[in-house]
Order: sequence, then structure tokens, then C-alpha cells
Amino acid sequence: MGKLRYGAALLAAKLSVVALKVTRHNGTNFPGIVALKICPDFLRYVKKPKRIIAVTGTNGKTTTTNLIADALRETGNKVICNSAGSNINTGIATCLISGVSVFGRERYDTAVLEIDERSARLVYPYVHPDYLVVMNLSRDSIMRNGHPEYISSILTAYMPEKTKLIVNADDLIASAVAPRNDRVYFGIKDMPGDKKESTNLINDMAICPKCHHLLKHEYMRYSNIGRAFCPECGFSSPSYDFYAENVDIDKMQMDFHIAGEVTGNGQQSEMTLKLFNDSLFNIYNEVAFVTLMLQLGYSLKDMAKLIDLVGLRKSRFNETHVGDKAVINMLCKAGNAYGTSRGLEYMTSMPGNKEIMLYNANSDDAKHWSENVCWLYDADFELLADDCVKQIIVYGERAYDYRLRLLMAGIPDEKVTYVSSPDEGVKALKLVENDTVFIMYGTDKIQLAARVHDEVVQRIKAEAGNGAVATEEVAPAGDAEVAASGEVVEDVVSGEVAADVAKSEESEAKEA
Amino acid sequence: MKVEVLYPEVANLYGELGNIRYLKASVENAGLDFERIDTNIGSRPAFLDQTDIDLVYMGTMTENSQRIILAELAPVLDDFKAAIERGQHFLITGNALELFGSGIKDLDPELLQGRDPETKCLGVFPFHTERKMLHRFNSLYIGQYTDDEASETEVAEGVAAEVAADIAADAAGDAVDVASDVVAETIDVTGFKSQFTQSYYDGDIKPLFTTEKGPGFNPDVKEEGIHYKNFMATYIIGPLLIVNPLFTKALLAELGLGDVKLAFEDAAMDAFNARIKEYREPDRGFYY
Repeated sequence: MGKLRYGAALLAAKLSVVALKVTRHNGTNFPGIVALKICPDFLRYVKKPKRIIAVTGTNGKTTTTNLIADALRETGNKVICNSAGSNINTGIATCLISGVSVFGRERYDTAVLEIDERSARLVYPYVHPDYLVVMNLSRDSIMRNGHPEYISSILTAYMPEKTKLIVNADDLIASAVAPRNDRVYFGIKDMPGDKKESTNLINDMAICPKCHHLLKHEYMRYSNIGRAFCPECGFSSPSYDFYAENVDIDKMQMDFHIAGEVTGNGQQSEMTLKLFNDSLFNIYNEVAFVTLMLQLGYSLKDMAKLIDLVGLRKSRFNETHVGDKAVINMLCKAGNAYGTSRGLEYMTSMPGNKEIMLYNANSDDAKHWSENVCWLYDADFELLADDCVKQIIVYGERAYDYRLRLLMAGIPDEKVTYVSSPDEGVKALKLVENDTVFIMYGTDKIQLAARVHDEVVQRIKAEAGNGAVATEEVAPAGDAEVAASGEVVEDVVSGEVAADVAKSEESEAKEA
Repeated sequence: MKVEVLYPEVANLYGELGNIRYLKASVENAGLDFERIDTNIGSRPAFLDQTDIDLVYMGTMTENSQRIILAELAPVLDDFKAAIERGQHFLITGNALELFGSGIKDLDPELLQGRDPETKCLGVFPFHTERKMLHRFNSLYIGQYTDDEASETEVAEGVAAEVAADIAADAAGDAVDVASDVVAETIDVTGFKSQFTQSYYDGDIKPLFTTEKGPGFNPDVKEEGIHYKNFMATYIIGPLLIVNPLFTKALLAELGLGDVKLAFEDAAMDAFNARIKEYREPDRGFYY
């Protein structure tokens, strides 16, 4: 009976793919929705590639998934990947459907799947990854994710026994996932700019998991990311099996080390590798990527070559320069204090004056209920209480809440401008000398943010006169989106897809 | 003013420590000193031995942290109860309140990893909690706080202030409403709930708030929280003191500070009034 349902589900899903093509609807997880509706355990029956590699965690999933899939394709593998679509059960079903013929025959040798942490319950009973990269686990949406320890417990409860984990040792929450599973740890040794203790409002791993005393750190990067030890009982973060050191942002390179025994012909235990990007988030993504590839039998020499061939997919129009001014769009998942803090850290670390358009309140919430604003008090808005921040523009239903939060962060009222619409905000910009305008936006405002970006550029050009030329680029200083959300803007290939992902996340949360 | 924060290293989810930051800013705004005592796991809470602590605060934490804190507090339970009886002021928000009931029962066993689905709690008040780790209950909240236990002194002071204000107003020939908040009878309270649990009263407990819209202690009752002597507990997050400037003023008055002008009070009141208005819209969805 199950098989019969499966056949019907596959046929219907395949027909829906054709229907979507005819009606020019791409990038949705509709085929997976159809399949799972007809056959709830569709994922059990659908033919899967021989090798399954998965990536999970709060931030960096899409970037790392893409790097792995691109590298495997470059080396001649036949790869299916869901990173352009949804990462919940329906998206994974859609991806696997695309890999089989209408008669159910598998056409690919490898699946590289980005899997939403909360979907573990619906995915892992049927899809057993050979390798799973756990990037990090941090505070996310209060409504959907609760807290990272909860997400960790979900992953642990549903993790298939034989899956080998590739885990971030610098994140004690992620490294505690599924303790019974075989694993290797990756990390980054001390770097310039490291601290000794967390200065962020969020630190979800402040106590020793063994004796519950306060942890100390050999080095601390942000929130709970760093190398921890307990002065009371001797507990410490796991040792690295694979690690980067001497990360050199000027030279854009790192030394990558294999800590254990190196086997195989011509294998080396260390090598200098090129950095894709200078933001810390992306360096972790790259270290995770290299570590995973080494598990698959590639050598560091192979990786040096592959890093030249694959790279972070650059977003379009996220940074524009006109004269002494720049306009940068930063994606911050709505309601995600952790990602917002990374964005604020990135912004305030840049030289020059800043004007910030805080357009990342969740306006969609206002349509059916009202945004839970607790997250504002987890985000480090105190970073904006700095002379280099010249103006902050706020609009939307939660403008009053933002005002109070910014005042509490020590930002004088006169620096904050309240506008009735996004476009009013463009007119209200002061555009001081040597200025960067940052537009922070959530996944529900992708198209709006692109339009506002253009309007700001037009205004700067108009005021600069005829000679002004705009150059569009992704600055070598780093991808702002990475800093903001931990995921580059390719995470949201188009507004449509992003809205889709957001909606499906939402509906899944409601189901749960 | 001395505020003891219990276990801030773990009881800090959902911006909860914003409550303390706002209290500090408001007390300092009134020209008073503010001392924050952070009590970490492994240390004996100061209020058990000291009587000069104005308020003890504990906020939302993870389920694992609940178990750790229960183990911390169980050995000092008698002293804890004695402090409640002697009138120590407490503010307990979010799931921290569950520690004071009889127990927490897990109804979704899938994530327990072999742990006992029954968590024994401190049993200070007659209520119990049911937890469903595969269900997240998200809602808005609007209700009322009735300050019917305002001490006679406060009432007397308040009345005196009102009389004085009336005289002043008469003298000025203008209607001025001064100091009425000090003896506010009933004030609006708002905020959010985001939790895996619901709690059920098993005996006579005076609630902290009466619900106008949204779930009470559980969705079937209008009562919300616990108010016993000076022990206040509620599931409402926001942070509570930031999204409820009227309640914060009432709390500071109960702590003996009189009618304090809060930090950024105008901004807080604008946000509060906008939220109350929004939540009272007839078609406003209250459940996520």
C-alpha cells in the first residue's frame, strides 16, 4: 500500500514540476508538498543517491552547502542540492524528486542537503546522511526555535546512528549534539581581535556542562563562540581534529592543519589555503567545508585547487559606491537578535560615518498578530552608541519599540528619525561626508530593500551632480550579508523564494 | 536600591535581563543608587540571609537550566519560604515561575532521551505545569493588575499627594492629575507569551493579573500568575517591566520609592499605549 501511494505521489509531484514550468513558477517546494500530502512517508520510499551529505545549524548552512556541492561537481560527481529551495521536509522531498526519473530511478550519485534544524524529526527517520556538518547553534526566532539547547535536543533525538558528524568545536552547543555519534571537530585557533570573555548580551553557553560553574575562555569571539574551559572541574572545549591558524586577513589566507595522523600517498598535514572572504562567519564556513571534503578523501592539495575553482556566490547590488559614500544592504533575519548583533558588529567595525536604516522589523507579523519584540533586548544595539553613527532611521509598526530600545542603548533621541514609510526614510537621510548608508532588512523585505537601495543611490548621485558615477560591487572588505545573518544573500535567490521559505518555515512551526 | 538577580548566567532568555537594565536606568533616573547583586549557580542567594535586598528577580531559562536551579534551591527551600513569608519582594517571569509549583510533567516524551517525564519542583504554591516540547505556545497578552494590597502608608502618602495636587490644581485653576499612579487601583498590563508549557492552579492562589485577552495561566482560565504577599510571578515576557511602564511604576512604588519618573518614560508610554490600542483591535490575532 505504501509503495502504491509512493508511486502515485511521485507521479503527481513530477506532474506538478511540469505544471510549475508551464506556469513559470520556479524555485518553490510545491512538488514536495504534493508528494508528502499524498504519501506522508514519501521520504522513506523515494530513491536517494548513494552518498548523502547534509549541513545543519543556525547560520552558514546555505553558504557551506553550496561550497560542498560546487566542489563535488567540479570533481566530476553528479550532485543534487536543495540550497536554492526550501530546507524543510517538503524542500528536501522536492530536491530528491528532481533526482529521480518518473519511473523512480536515481540519476545522481550524491545529495548535498541543507537541512533545517527543527525539521530533524520529519527528515532523519527517512533520510540518513553519511556525513552531517553542524555549523553552530544560536538563538533564533523566539516563537519557532525557543532556544539553542532545545534545537540541540531535537538534533540529538532524531540523529541517525551511523551519521558521522563534522562539528564546530568552538561552539559548545553545537559540539554537544548527538554525543553517541562518531565525529570530527573543526575550529579556528586564536586570532587577532579575540577577547577573553563574551561582551555580547547573548551568551547561551556561560556555564560548564559538567559542574555548572561559570566557564572561562582561552579566546572568545562573540556570544559563546570561542574556546572554553572550566576552572573548577577542568572541562574544556573538544580538541580540534582539523583547524585553521594564522588567519591573515591582509593576505586573505589561513594555515589549515590536520591534527591527527595523515594517511595516503602524498598527503600533507598542513597547507596555506586562500580565504574566500574576510568575515569570521565565512572563515568558519570555509573551515567546515574543507574539513568535510577531507572526510570524503580529498587532500589538502586538492582543496587548494578546489578553493580556486569554487567560491562564494556574489550577491548582486548589495553594495554601491558613489564618491565618498557607500550604500550597503544587510540581510538580518527578522526577530533574530544573534544575527542582528553580528550585523551591528560588522557595521561599527567599518571606518567612516554611518547612517543606518533599521528596516528589519517583521511587518508581516502586524498583518495577522503583532511582533514579539523581546529579541530587541537580546540584540547589541549598544554598539550603535558611537560617534561614527550619525543617524538611525526607523519606520513601521514597531517604531515606538525601536525608539525605546535605542534610547536604552544610550543613543540620543536626536540621532533617531521616525518616518511613516520606507521612502520617507530615503528623503530623511542626512548623507554626511564620508558616509556609508546601511539598510538592514528582514527576509520579508528583500524587494523593498533593493528598491530603497536604488533610491538612496539616486539621491546621492543627484546631490553629487552630473559627474557622480556609481560602482556596484561586493567590497573586498567582506560581504555585509554574511556578517549580518551568517548567510550570504544567495540564501535568498529571489524575493519569491525567500518569501516561500519564510512562509513554509512559518507553517511548519504552526504544525509543530 | 538593591536588586538580586538569581542565576543571570542561565535565566536570561528572550531579553529578560532587559527588565533589570530598565529598573537600573529608572532608579538612577530618580537620582537613587542602584546595586545589582548577581547570584550564580553554586552561590547561596544573598536574600536568604540579608533583609536589605529590595527585590529578587529571576527570568526565563532552558528546561535543563530549570533542573539545575531546582537542585540549587532544594537544599535552601525552608529559608526561601521563610523569606517569602517575611515579605521579601520577588519578581519571577517566564518559566522561572514553574519552579515554585509541585512539578512539571512532560507530555511529549520524544525529546527526553530517557529522562523521567516528571520533574519535581519546589512545591511552594499549589499548582502544576504540563510541558509539550513539540508544541510552542505563542500569544499576545493584555490584562489588568490590581494593586489592592498597597500598604496603608503608601495609600496615605498617595492620598496626601492627591489632596496636595487638588489644592495646587484649584490654586492654578487647572485640572492636573498628579501622583495618581502611586495608588493606581487597576492598571493595564500587556506583553507576550512564548513557551512549551501551561500551568494549572491546584488550590487557592491569588493571580497577579486578570486576563482581558489572550491566555491566562493556561488558555482555559482568566487568572494569570501568582501574587502572594510580595511574591509576584507571571509568564509574561516583553521584557515585562519595559513593555509595562505603569506596572513598573506600581512596582517601584510598592518597593517604597514613591512615584518615580521612569527612564525614558515618555518613550515607554508611547510604546505601551500603541500596543494596548493595537491589542484591543477586535480582529487582532492573539495566537501565532
